[in-house]
Amino acid sequence: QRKGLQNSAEDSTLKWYKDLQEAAAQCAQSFDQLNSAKDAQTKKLKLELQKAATIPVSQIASNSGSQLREIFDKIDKLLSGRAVVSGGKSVSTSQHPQGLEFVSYKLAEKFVKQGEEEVASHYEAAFPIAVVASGVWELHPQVGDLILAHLHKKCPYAIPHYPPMKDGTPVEEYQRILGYRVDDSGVEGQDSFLKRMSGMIRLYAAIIQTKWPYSSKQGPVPHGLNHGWRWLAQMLNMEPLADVTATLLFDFLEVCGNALMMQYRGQFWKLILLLKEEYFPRIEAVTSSGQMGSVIRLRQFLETSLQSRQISPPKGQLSSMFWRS
Amino acid sequence: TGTAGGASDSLFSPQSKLTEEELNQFKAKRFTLGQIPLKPPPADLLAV
Amino acid sequence: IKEKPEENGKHDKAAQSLLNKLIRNNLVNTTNQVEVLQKDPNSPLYSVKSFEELRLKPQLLKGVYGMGFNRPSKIQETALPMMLAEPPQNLIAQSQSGTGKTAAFVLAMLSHVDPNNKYPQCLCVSPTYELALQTGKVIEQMGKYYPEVKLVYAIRGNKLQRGMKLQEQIVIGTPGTMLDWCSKFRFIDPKKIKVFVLDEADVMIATQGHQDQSIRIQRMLPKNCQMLLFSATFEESVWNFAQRIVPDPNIIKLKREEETLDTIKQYYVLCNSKEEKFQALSNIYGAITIAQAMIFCHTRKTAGWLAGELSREGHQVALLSGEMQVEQRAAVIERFRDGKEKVLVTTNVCARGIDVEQVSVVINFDLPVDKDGNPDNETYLHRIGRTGRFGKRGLAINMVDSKMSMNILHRIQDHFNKKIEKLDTDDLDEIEKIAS
Ligand SMILES: Nc1ncnc2c1ncn2[C@@H]1O[C@H](COP(=O)(O)OP(=O)(O)O)[C@@H](O)[C@H]1O
Repeated sequence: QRKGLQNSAEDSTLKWYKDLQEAAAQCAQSFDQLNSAKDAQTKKLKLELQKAATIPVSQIASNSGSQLREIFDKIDKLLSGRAVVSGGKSVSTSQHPQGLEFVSYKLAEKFVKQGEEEVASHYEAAFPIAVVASGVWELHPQVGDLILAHLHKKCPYAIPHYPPMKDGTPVEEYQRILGYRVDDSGVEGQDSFLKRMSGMIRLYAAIIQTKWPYSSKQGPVPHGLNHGWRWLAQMLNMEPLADVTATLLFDFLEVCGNALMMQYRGQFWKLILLLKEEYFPRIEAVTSSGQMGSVIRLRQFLETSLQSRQISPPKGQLSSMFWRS
Repeated sequence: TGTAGGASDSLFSPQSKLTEEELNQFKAKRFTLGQIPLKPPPADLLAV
Repeated sequence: IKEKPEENGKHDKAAQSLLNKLIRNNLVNTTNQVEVLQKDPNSPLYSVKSFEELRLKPQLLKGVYGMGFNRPSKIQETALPMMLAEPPQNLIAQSQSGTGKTAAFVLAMLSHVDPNNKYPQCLCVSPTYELALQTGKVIEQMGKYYPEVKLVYAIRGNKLQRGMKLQEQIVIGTPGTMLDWCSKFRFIDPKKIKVFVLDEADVMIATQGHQDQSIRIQRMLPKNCQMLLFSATFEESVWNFAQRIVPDPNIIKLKREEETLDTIKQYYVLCNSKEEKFQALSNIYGAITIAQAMIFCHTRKTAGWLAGELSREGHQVALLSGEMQVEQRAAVIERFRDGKEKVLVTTNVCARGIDVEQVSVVINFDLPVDKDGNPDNETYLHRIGRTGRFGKRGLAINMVDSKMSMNILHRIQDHFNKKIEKLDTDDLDEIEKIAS
């Protein structure tokens, strides 16, 4: 029987994370031949396949529902081995034995990068990206697992996991494991780091509450709100980290707090109450005076929610109107 | 994928899939710090 | 074919300032130190590293953090303690746009009003209606948890009933209307004003009449009213004006960050036609994640063509061109800033002066040249150069399609003495490498 807050995530969580990483590594291994091809023709095919996978993701925007459908159809076609036209050229995964693995891997990576780059500066971009990702996930579960693997690698807090410093790990390497960008000019600033992490957590929070509206499958989504519960519960079971914990809890709750509230009602409010009354003081205790911003934003959110017994739906959520556009 | 990351693969946990401790947490008025079950609550215990 | 560069007329400065405000959603990085000239050199100089140290009203602290701020910007570190001091101190502050001046004086105004008094206590004058509106938005955001404080716009078109007295504590507007409201119509009792802000002084003096009107407003205010003046640049004329508006000032200056090509990766791509350029562009898009890109073309015609091609491929494209009115341009920029469109295609001339620091990739579809066809180094630097060491990592890609443009590229390269590497856009691995 464990007592009090823990220093790391539960074994089952960590095992799940490791399994996903291994599967992703195996996938990368499996298309190595295509990836490192030297002959011009295969290289060209690789370029076309990658474009067919990634360009549609970069085009996701909240302009219209019909546009998202087109993008989704393109991706679905590609993953189903049918030919798609990209830049005037027709390409299909059937043109290479490793085409499908390659495309799945690149696609998943692209979804996460888009979250990192774009959601970080436009929070609302999380929703259109999430809805396409979740539709693809449903029809092509292998892509879903790869999305998780890429996400966890770039943002361990999405697991959630606070990687401990291991003896002998160089500082720079450790910073990288924690999600910081490190290059010749040094490690990136805290604000820039937090922004990217926020972007990825917001994308994750959007994915777990979203279902592709044109899905032909009945039943629960492959990665749904039960993972929202899991994430939140796991976060609150661990000792908080300064700055990071408050920032990400706020991001996560702002995006999927409303959905979790509707789903888990009384049990959800028990979580929020615990967070406010027992966990929040623990966050405050590890916060120094220059880091109050995230703490005060979280407190404001918790107070407003508890007072009104309500959590507003997130800004930027796609409405049913949107799908008629 | 079974119990990916400690969560069950359905939106609610059947009571039979929960340990006694987990069930007690869901039945109690409040959660205990550090002992929130990672599995989602059972559908019939949403009102507390 | 030579197209005439479009001239944007006399409101150029105000328009540029507005567009820059609209495209920005971030603080500009600065590493330079602020220079401070105190009215009383013997008084201690305070600077703060956190908002807590300012002992703000809790509602305002919440408002500041609610905007996503974490700590004071460089100029705010010194300016805020001065502006919030008792007794109030006058201040002239100069720093480039995007360094946090507006947020600073909005916080000062909100801190100084007494919400129980239902009459104007702070006046803020701005050069144009649109700029006043932007400041108003900041007041509303920062004052979100302080709803007792109300705001009204003194702008042409906002007609009030004769003889009425304003109840709002903060009035923001353009100099002409503000003056009318203070003197001719007496909606405002200038004797009760505690804080007077003059924003964008350099833009202000570029408009006929604004300078006089501002001075006439200032003359009506009580002696102990706090006077604050802000400007992005500081020529002699601005300085003269500032001294007439702000008696016994403290002065804060933050040198403009040098734009440098050091933190940016520059590449060029060799093509034979504009179709090939387009193909190269699409390969780049396939290989690297571009949250937002700005693409510069020489003529309106190329820009239009490119935007069309990109949309046909399913990209969300915004087109900014010189014949658009300011409002139209503002709308395009806002949509782009909000991420509704991810690619902004524009002509070299039209985007002159717009800060693109927000954008992670800049593509010169045509290289910038002046009217004689010589390389326009200044524009190149402004567009591509970045400030601050830990600023956003930048990537610039130049498309070259003739001997002539290769020559221009070489001259740009020589001018800055910085190598521009060749990029083969048919080689995926090579493109991927440049983004890592
Ligand atoms: N302390 C701060 N921390 C983070 N962002 C800030 C801070 N102060 C201002 N900003 C943001 O930076 C941008 C530029 O600030 P602004 O006050 O408009 O600068 P200026 O008036 O000098 O042009 C705005 O988006 C603003 O919200």
